[in-house]
Amino acid sequence: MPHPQIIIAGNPNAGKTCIYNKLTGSAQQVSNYPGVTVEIKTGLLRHHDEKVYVVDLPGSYSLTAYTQEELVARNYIVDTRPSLIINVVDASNFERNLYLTIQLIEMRLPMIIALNMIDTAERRGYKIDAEKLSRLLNIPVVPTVASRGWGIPELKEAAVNLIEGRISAIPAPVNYGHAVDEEILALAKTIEKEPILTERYASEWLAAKVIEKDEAVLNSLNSFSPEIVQPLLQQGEEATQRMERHFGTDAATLMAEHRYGLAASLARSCISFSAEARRDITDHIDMIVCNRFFGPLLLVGVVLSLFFWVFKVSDEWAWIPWFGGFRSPTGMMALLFDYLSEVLAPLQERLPMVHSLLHDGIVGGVGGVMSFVPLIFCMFLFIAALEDSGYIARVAFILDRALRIFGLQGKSILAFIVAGGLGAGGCAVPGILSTRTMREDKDRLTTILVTPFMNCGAKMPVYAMLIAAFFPAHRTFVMLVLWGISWGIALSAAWVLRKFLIRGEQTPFVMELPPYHLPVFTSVLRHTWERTWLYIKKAGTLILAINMIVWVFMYFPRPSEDVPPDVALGYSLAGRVGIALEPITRIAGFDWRTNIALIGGFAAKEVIIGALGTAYALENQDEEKFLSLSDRLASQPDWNPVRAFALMIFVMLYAPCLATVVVIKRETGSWKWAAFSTVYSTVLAFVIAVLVYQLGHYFVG
Amino acid sequence: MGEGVPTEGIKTTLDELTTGDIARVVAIRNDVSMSLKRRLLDMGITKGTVLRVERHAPLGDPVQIFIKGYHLAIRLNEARAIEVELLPQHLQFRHRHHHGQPHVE
Repeated sequence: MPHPQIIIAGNPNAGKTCIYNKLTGSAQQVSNYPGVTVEIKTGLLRHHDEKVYVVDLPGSYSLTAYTQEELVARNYIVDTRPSLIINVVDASNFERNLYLTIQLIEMRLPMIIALNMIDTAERRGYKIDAEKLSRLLNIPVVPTVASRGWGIPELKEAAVNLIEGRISAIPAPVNYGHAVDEEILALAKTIEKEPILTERYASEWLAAKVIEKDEAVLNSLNSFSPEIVQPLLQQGEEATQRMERHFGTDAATLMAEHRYGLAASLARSCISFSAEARRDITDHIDMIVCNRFFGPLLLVGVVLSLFFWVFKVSDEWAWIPWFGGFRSPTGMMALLFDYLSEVLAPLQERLPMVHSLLHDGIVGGVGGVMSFVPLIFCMFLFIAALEDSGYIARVAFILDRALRIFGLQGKSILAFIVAGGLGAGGCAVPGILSTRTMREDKDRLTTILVTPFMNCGAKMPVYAMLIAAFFPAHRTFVMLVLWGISWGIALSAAWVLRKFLIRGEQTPFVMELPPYHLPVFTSVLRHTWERTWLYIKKAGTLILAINMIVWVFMYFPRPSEDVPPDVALGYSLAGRVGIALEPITRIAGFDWRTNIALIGGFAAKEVIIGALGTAYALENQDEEKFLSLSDRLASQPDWNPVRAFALMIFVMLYAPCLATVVVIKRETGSWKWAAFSTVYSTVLAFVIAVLVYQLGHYFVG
Repeated sequence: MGEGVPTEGIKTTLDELTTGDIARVVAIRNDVSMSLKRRLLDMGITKGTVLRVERHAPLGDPVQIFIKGYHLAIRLNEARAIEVELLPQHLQFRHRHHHGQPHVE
């Protein structure tokens, strides 16, 4: 690395990301840690011409990796040997935060502590002597309130001074007490004889890890030659046994106890109580939020208000000023695409093929997706605000017992919500990505495999269109039924998967309930934008490409004479495939035109409406088209409510879109599960659609 | 350990406690998985730590405890692995001693 590197490490909710944002401003990028899917954010800190890379790691409670994210954080620190670690410590939660600090100190890397949230600590009635802490640990301790920017200039100054060598900040070695220190030092001496080890690890850190039998470290030692590693492990084993005999408990426990003992003594030395602390506002709020009766009630209220808020702000309320009036966000999008349509109109006569490609394929397809961006954005904004405030943790707490019945867990709820589980749209791609806060295991895998059943933003227009055509008097009711079915199937599928295919232990649920705080606007906005951007990127790249491919298949080969568009469709490649599949799909009520649309939908479900529209020879490609497709289908003799319903069910459940499949592969680490997801959900969707269609016809005729 | 803290108390496990109970951690049972044990240790469930049971979730599970100045939620079947000593109820669990040692008046 040409520039020095600073790593920011600390507990979740300590304010790491806030400090990272304040240090790097807008110069940030996200990259993948090799081999794993957790993303590392890297930014640049500029200070008086000095340029330093700053890396924001996922929050960890300990360097003993438990979740995916903690493993990445730990490995990154070990593998990178940064120029500086900024350890963000939540002052209002001092002792537990210090547990990680002590482990970072063991690594003997230059370190600065950002003692964050000192305002909260003060409100709780205690004061921390940063100077004393600094003296005891031998490293700079900078008090900060990152959300207000207090202490940030001092932190920057200290960081740059350290990097430029003007101050030194190697922490004092950790003293656990004679018995433990003796063993660690002895083992460290052996390690120091092997430069190949010391080049990679701090000797005392490695010794401590070997003695406490840290699995990840022992595994990584296998990459070194046995002649070096074996004697080391042997000596370590002996040390461990001696210590276990001496203290009467296992090594992991006694190391943890010593570290916490040290944290407690540092707390005693540095914390003084200034005033009587009142019961926290968090406790007051939780008395309602987690209450047996009011808790679930409040949850329902939150869900309903999210619905209200999202639809009103993005779709109904016209609040954006625009040339002679106000428009709603979706209205603005519609305007944009109308404009593009107009611009392209002259092409229709002169270059009909190009016009069709640009207008039907691109503007139509991508336009459909983009018109959902305001809705998705509002949705994600609300969710991010709830996450940031700490409420989502309570939701996981409340729902955990119920979700466990289906082989899931409390944390799974976030994936479902982001993927559209609340009924106001969403996207499975960020939904699946949000499972990274879960431990890598069966619960997480199951969650990932059923998340695509949620009613995402791509499926909604299909529902809306068909409902307008066939259930105009019962719109809300049918939407509610579809919502219920998606959850019902998701939970049942999870149960079945867990019972028969993904058998194994449930992950323990050990989760902090962080204090409530008002969502910080900038961080909520960033979080929202990250997720929305994934959705837009999908539209701009994958869906665009798919739409063009689908367009090609629906356009070529062309018949030689001039025929109406729908006949020409039958002649094309897509048409032929659709017709060929008809004998099978007919039992679910799908004709060849529907088949074409559904095949296109494998790639991205947003394609379905556009393809269906083209298949019925419709000309306009925006909201008008959607309405006229509705009318068109309603007037088709071979279409009826039962068929429409079967189609909606199929669209709801069948294969996740290509973008989702790719994410599933990345997050599960193999194509096996991605392929499985596609196959099992399509089979399930087909079976249920057939049942709905056949039984529907039987009863309704 | 704070002075004056009574050393006898009823020995039980965390899942048996009710809201408001204050207890001191004795040990984490050995028959739990190593990863769970480490996780509990990392979160501060070490010998001698004092905790208070805040509430149970609406469906009865998980249980929320106040420990070392913060709130932690644990499932009952995992709480079963945490051996505790129930401390007499009249002990005031003062928030000012966030590191968990109760203060006796």
